[in-house]
Amino acid sequence: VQYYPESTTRTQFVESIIPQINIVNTGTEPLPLSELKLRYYFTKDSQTQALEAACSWTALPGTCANVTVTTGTLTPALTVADSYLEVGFTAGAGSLPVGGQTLDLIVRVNKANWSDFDQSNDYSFDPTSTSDTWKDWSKVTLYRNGTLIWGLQP
Amino acid sequence: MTTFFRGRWITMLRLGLSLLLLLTLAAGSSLLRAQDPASRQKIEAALLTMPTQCGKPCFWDIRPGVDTLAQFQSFAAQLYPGLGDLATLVDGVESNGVGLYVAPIKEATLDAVVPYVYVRLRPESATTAGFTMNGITPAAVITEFGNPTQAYLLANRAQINKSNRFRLFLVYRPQAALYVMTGKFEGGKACLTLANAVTVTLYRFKDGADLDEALKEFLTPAKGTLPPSIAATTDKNAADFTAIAANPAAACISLR
Repeated sequence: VQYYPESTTRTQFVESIIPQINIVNTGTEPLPLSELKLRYYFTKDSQTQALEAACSWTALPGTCANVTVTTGTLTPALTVADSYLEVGFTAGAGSLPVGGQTLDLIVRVNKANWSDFDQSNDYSFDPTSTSDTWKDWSKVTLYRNGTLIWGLQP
Repeated sequence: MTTFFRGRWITMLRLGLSLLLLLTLAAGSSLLRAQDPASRQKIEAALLTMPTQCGKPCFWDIRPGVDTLAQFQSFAAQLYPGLGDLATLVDGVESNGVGLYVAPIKEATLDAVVPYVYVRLRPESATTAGFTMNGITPAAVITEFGNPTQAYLLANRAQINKSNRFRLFLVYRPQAALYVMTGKFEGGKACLTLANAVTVTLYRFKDGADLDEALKEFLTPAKGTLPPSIAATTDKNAADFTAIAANPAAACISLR
């Protein structure tokens, strides 16, 4: 999994967290995207607010219609993450061929009241990113049929 | 028979009480969502007009860096009658696209001083709710405050067709204010109109020194070096904004 923060959200305080994700198939067989789930971990910085998440852009077949984006809660909460953004795919998104990549999967999350997030304590956020350069990023995790196949959970 | 009718009567009473309970809960949970005209006018007057009569450090009747959360709570409760406990206050109160927030405060108590406050407007929702937003439009803020001390536009030309977003930061050091517009590009340009705005936010600080300190958090991921100014990344510079405000739909900003 490769990642960088969207260019307007490389700051400590943001109203929306917007990771850009690229999944690369380094295996030896085609990878049905519907078998994958990806998680981006962050702190909500809030006791009361619900989260709203969505897909912003993708070049995959069917575009965002075939991408599911939800949020979840980590139990117990950690200082670097109490929530996660989970990205999945429907069958219409197709498969990644060997060596293929999704490129530029852009998703976003904001709080229901649109208050700022503080990204300085977010597990998956890369504060060193300054450009649109893909970086292998182990702090975003990828699961295939529920089994971790990439990254380190917080 | 008597037992039968008594049983039915008790069942109906239970149903009635349940309905009453449900209606009460529904009314309570919608306190922050419902916006009667009087409440809307209060919010417009307090948050969506420029506070020209209220000198620094008094902004919207709140003094950032001076007033406590208790004072902020008292002010906020006038505008948002359904305001709940301290946790709700610290998280920020929002209704129909207009929100009032305080800076993050760790282990907040009512006697904690509020470092800065901000008002965030989501024009799409606020328009639907019938808010008048003339006072906090980019053009209105620029007209009131003048050209900013410094300006920054965060965006990426190569990403315009994908993320299609920009964040514009106008720094007003004399007014200890920071105005931020998150917008959508239109025809590859950043136009400072509410129609192009996802959100507009006005942050107010105690003084220029507090603003300078906060800028490092608002413009970098970890209090690092500030990004290149708008003059380096676009065809405009900080001195162009009053001209932009005069014709915001046409005097748009182009990325270099």
